Formats: sequence, structure tokens, C-alpha cells
Amino acid sequence: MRTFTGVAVNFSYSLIGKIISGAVSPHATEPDSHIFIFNDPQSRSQRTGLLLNSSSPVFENCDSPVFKLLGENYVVEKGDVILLTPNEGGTVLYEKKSRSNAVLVTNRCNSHCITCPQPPQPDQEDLADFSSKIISLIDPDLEVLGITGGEPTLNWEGLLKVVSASRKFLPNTSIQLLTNARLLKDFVKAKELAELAEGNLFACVPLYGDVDSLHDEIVGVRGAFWETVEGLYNLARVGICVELRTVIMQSNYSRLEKWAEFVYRTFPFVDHVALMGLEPIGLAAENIDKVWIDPADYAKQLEKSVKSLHRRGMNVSIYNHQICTLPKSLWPFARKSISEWKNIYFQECEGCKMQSACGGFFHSAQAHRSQSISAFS
Amino acid sequence: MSQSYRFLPFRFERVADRVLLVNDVGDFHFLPESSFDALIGRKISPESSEYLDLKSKNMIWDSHLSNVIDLLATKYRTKKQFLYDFTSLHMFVLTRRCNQRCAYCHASSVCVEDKDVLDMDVATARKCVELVFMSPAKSIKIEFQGGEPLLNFNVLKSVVEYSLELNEKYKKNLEFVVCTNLIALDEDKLEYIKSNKIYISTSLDGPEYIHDEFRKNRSGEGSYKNVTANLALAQSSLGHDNISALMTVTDLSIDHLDEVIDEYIARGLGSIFLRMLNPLGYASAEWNRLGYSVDDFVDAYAKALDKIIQINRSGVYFPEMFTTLLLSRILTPFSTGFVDLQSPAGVGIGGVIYDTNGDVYVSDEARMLAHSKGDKSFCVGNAHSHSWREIFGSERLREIISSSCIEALPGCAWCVFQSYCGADPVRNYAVYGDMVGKRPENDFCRKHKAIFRVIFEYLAKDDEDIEDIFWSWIIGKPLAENSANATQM
Repeated sequence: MRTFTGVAVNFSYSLIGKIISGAVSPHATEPDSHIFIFNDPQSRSQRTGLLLNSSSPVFENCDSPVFKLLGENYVVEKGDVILLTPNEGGTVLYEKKSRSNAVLVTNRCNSHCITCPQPPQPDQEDLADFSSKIISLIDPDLEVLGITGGEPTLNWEGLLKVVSASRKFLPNTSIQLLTNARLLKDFVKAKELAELAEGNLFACVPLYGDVDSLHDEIVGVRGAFWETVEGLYNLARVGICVELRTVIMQSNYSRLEKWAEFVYRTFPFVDHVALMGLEPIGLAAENIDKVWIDPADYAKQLEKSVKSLHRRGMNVSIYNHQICTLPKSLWPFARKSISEWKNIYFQECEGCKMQSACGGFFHSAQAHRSQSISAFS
Repeated sequence: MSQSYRFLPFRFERVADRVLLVNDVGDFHFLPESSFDALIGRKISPESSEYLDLKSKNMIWDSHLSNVIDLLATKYRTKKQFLYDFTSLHMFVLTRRCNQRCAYCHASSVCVEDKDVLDMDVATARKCVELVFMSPAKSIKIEFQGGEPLLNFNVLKSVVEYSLELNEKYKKNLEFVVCTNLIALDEDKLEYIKSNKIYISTSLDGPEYIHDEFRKNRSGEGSYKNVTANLALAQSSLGHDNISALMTVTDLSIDHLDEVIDEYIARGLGSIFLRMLNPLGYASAEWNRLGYSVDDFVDAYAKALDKIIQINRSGVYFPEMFTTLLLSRILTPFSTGFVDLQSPAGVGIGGVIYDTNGDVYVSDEARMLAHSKGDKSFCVGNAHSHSWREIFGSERLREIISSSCIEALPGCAWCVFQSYCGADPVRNYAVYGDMVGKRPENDFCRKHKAIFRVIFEYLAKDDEDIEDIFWSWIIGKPLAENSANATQM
């Protein structure tokens, strides 16, 4: 998430606010100042505050909270939700123009995936309350809100709280739940989730192999494969849409085509299948020698798998791949999936005609990326 | 060294120089003979890709057996979904009269003018429609048959209108199909067919000299000119997608199926169904003149399929519908609704036929047996005198169904193609005198086994183009169209 630094004036506690306007404040005439609203924990009412750039003066008779940015101006926009902490600075919790906003329910996880980009941590506080506050401030025209972790289902009550908040404040938003679905082997839980979400939730579930040994090895838990399989069937039974995902790595690329066929024959109900490139960060970076494979080296397997799913009438997408690493026949399936704040391009990309169609790279690709990156002229 | 894997149930046979393994849910795998020996001798190494393939396809297991069984149970339920759906195909014999006298007529149609006896009346039609809507099936297809159903068009209309009226309450996915030779089609009828979205299934045996040899009107003239003119009329009014044609392979056309295919394409028919002549009705009496052996049929089918695949390779989307049905069974995890080839058989519980007087038969063949031999063994009631429960819950229907589970029939129980095949107890009874029948000399069995073999030989080739073609048939649209959609996601 994006962060910025600044000085807190007139407040000494953390607050979460939503930017409601820029340059229309009766107090500020500077174009870079923004009004935000927040729920004041002391007066229990909604109040307004000001976000000012470094050159703007603070009005002397103003007793509202003001956050004065330091250094380079940071541009926030109307609708963004921010966290201001007096001694630490600010964080953009929700970016209105981004297409990949997510909230957390827990940082804990019951799997230990060899490629995890955000390794699990213990929770210091209940993230569900924090996330519910964010949700209460988001403009209700949001299309998709992600719920991620950690493994969100581990904080079950928290997850339900966040889903309820989303239903209450964002009734037209679909909720994208990133989960390994292992705990959803409990049908009662799957049903509870479906009833609460009222058809507005879809689950993105990773399944890395077509046999238990392969998947379990990757997620680091014996028995995880079968729990996820049960979870997937329960999701289908309660009518929650599923995007089934895999990350392509050294240990599973050679069975990718078998995986595709297995997915079709076993889970024909999934709405979308996503084949993802590795994000070389977190545990994936630590295990890079064990997991890395150049996309150019699995192009053939990827092509066969995508074609196999496609001809079976499945919706299929390729995430996190640069167009120059893919055979041309796969271009229609490649999505620009890397979050805006993570996405970069390299020297090799200079002058590339296809850049606007290309998803680019994760920041972390500085250390590891395909040998076959080259600009289209 | 012996490995610690165990077998899950599968059946096997040598196909295309390899061993084909198929399990109860239709997962299949080809193994070279030597690997098959290793498999059976428990010598496949757990590290090998063959081991993982067999595990992935549920032929062997090494842990989590209860999970594996749950998974197979879910897949099995999916494959047998047609049983949950119950009777969805309801055929109405609107009349036994016909304006044609085809040499091989299965339905033993007649030309007598005595309408009172040979046509369905409105009162009977309404009783039958009421039975139709008692079915728990969510999708209902009402198919008009004959004789020639257009000759009793007023009753066709009353069935359509009463069905639409009842469907206000039952809210089924309701479809109508009329099986007609098109000869009696006129503008009024066409307009009615169009405005009620009735699908047309007609008969065209091939080019003129083939069609006219066996399909003649009552004065003995071939019907080709009349049929093709009305086909063009119907196509331009209803659109090509709302009309299909069936053909019956005859002793004359069997060596000229390539010409039949060309004729279909030239006539703008989007698919073909290569149908073997059955020894029923008039065809039974004239088998010596009209008939041919199963081997001859399968040879002709294989050649025709090869030609059809070539046509598709050249970019023309043109499926063979029986192959498409079998491919759906082999390649998809889904249940398929083809009443003539199910296990348990689709007789009564998948499709049912209402005769002109309201007699309810479990299949068209069952009705023909009654008309040609006076044997009403497969009549399970009458719409005037029996309730839905009495007909569909009858002991007789249960007895018929329980004699048609190929999982338990001799010959079928161990057949490698069992998961994709089905039984026809009525035909067995007609030919062998009992519902179980005899295999392997049974023609029904021989024909299907040989066709499965042809199809699996294609699948064994692992040819991407052929896979593309086969899947485009299963999905029901040209692959190019499917690909165009990918870019718009």
C-alpha cells in the first residue's frame, strides 16, 4: 500500500478518513489541500479534517485535525480512504482509481506455500474491525472489493463481520475472497458465508496440482489437497462462484496440462481458471532456486493447458505474464493483473509497442524475470 | 519391487495398439502394453509421471481413500444426473396416417382415411398434456410424431396451446419439436411453427436418386423435390438453426455417404446424424432388400466420419451428431440426455410416447411392437384411465428399468465402454424374447462397440486439430467463434 509522511496538527490519535474533496475547502485555497471526513472516536460523531501540502499555511483559528504533508506532495483523490498516524505518517488504505483494492481479515495462515508473496504473521489486533471501518467509508460505487490475508477463514467471526460490513455499506459491490478453502470443507461454514453474501461473493482458490502429493508439497501441509477439494465442492453446493488458480513453478509446470484436464473433469462448475506467473517476493524469493522457472521454458505447457481449457468452454486467463514471454496464440488470454502500485517496466521494455497491452512486472522482478523479455518494435 | 498403491475399479481392453482403461465415472487413460503389465504387477514407481497420471484419473490410490471415494461419488452423481431429471422427452403420435410410404418405415404408417381411429383427438391430447406436466423434470420437450404430424395440425395446435397454458403454472423449460417430412407444410402452418418457436426435425436421405429410392409418396413418386423445396422455405422463414434433418442409411446409400454429406452441406443443414436402419416396422419385413450388416455400417460410418473431420478441418463447422453425443460422454464429466442409450435405459424414465388413443408406451419401438405384432408388453397405461403415479410408478416400469442396468448385464458388466453406453430392453425383447438379450452377437452391442473403437482410435492420436474439432461439436459452436470470445473477456 502507498504511504506518505507528514505532521499531525490538532490530533494525537490514529484516524481513518475519507477524502471528500480537494480545493473546495472554505479554509484552504491551495489546490493541493483536501478535506477528509472521519468518525471521531471521542465525540462519536463524523467530523472533517484537512490534508495540506507542505507549502500551505495552517489557519490559526482552525481546531480541526490537519495533516501537513512533508517532502514531495502526495496526491490523493476524492474517494480515497486514508489512515493518519501522528508519529508514523499516512497510508492509503483504499485507492478509488485502483481496480485492486483489498482489506485484510487476518495475517495468519494455515498453509505455508512455498511461493507465498506475503508470508503469514501473528495478528496484533483484530483486523476485521479495522477493515470494517475502511469499508464503512468506501464510496458504494465500488465494483470489486478483495478480502485477503493470511487466510481469511481462520478469523471466521472476523470474516463474517467484514462481509456483513460490505453488504451493509457496499450493497452493489462483489466481494473477491482469496482463500485456500480448506476450512470450507465444513459445509455449515460454506453455507453461512453464502447466506451472508447473498450471491455477491466469489472465491479465488489456489490448487497447485492434479494429485495430492504435488499440491501438499507446495503448500507445506499434508492433507491440504483433499481439504481444498472438499471446500471447492462445498462452494459449488452453496452457489458461490469460484475462480480456480495455480501458480506455475518448477515442481508443477510439467503437469500443467494434466492439471487443466483434471480441473475440467473434477470442477467443471468453476467460473474462471487463472494460470499465474510467480511473484518473486516473500517466501518465493527465499525459495527462488527451488521454485523459479523462466516463462519461456514453460510456454509450450502453458499453451497446451490454456487451449485445453478454452476448447472445453472454460473461461481462462493468464495472470502476471509479460506479453513477450507468451506465444502469440495466448495473447488474448493474458490479463493486466499486476496491481497498479506494484507494476513496473524495465530497460528491455523501452520503446515496446505492446506496453499498453502488457501487464508489466512486479517490483520484485528486478531480481528474477524471464530471459526472453524484449520490446516489440 | 512391489509398490504400495491399490487399484480403484476400472475396465480395460486393447484399443489402438494400447490398453485403454476406463473407470465408472468415464475417466479414461491409454497405457502401452508394457506399462499396463507394470501397473497390474504393482511395479509402477510412485515418482513416475505414469503413476501420477493414473492417480489423477482415479485408477489407483495410495492415501485418503475416503476422500477419493467421495470425489468419485460426486462425479458419478454428475454422470447419472439424467436419473434425477426424470422423464423429459414426451412424444405425441398425432396420427398414424402418412402422406408418404417409405420402404423402411419403422412406424408402420398407414394411408387409410379413417381418421377417427388413426388420429389423436383433442380430448386425448389434453389428457396426455396433463400427464406431461406431472413429470418432475425441469426441462420438457414435447415431440410431435406420426405418421405425419402435420396431417393432424389442429390437434398439434391444441397440444401447444394447452401446454403453454399449463406452463404458466409449472414454469418448465418447454420446447416443441415436430418430426415431419415437410410435404404438408404450407404458409399458415409455417407461420404457426415460427410464432410458437417449434423446432423442425425432418428427413433427408441424401441426393435425389438416394432419397427417392426409398422415400416415396403414396402414388409411388419420390418426394425429394417436394421435401427440398419446403426445406428451403422453412429455412428462410425459421432460420437454419431451427431445422435439422435425420437420414437413414440404406443399402443404396451405404457406399455413397460422401454424397449424402455433400447434399446436407449444400442444403444448408448444419449437422448430420448417420443413422443405421433398424429391423423394425416395414424395414423388418423387407430386411433382405434394405438391410446390411453391422460391419458394413461401421465401415461406412468410419469413412463418413473421416470425411466429416476433413470438412471441419477446412474450417466448415459440421458435426456428426451421434459421434458428438458419444464424445460428450467420453470427454465431459456431464450427464447426457439421449434416451436410446442410457443405463438404466431411458425407456419411460427419460422419454415416453403417447399413442393416438392415449396408450402410453415406454418408447417408440415399444409402440411399434404393439402395432406390428400385437404385443403390448411395453404399454404402461393409458392417459384416459391411469394416473401419472399409476403409469410412472408401475411395477411393470420398475421391472423394465431394473432389467436395463448395463452395470449388471452379462457382457456389459466388464465392457470397457460401459461407462458411455446404454441398454435397450425393448429391442432385446423384440429380437431375443427377453429384456436382457444376448451379447456379444447382439447387433446393438456390436454396432456401439465398433463405433466406440473408431472414436477412441481418433482420441489415441493426440491430434490437436482433431481435439479442437471434437470439442467444437461438444460445445456446439465453431472454435473460431469460441476463440473470438476470449479476446473480449
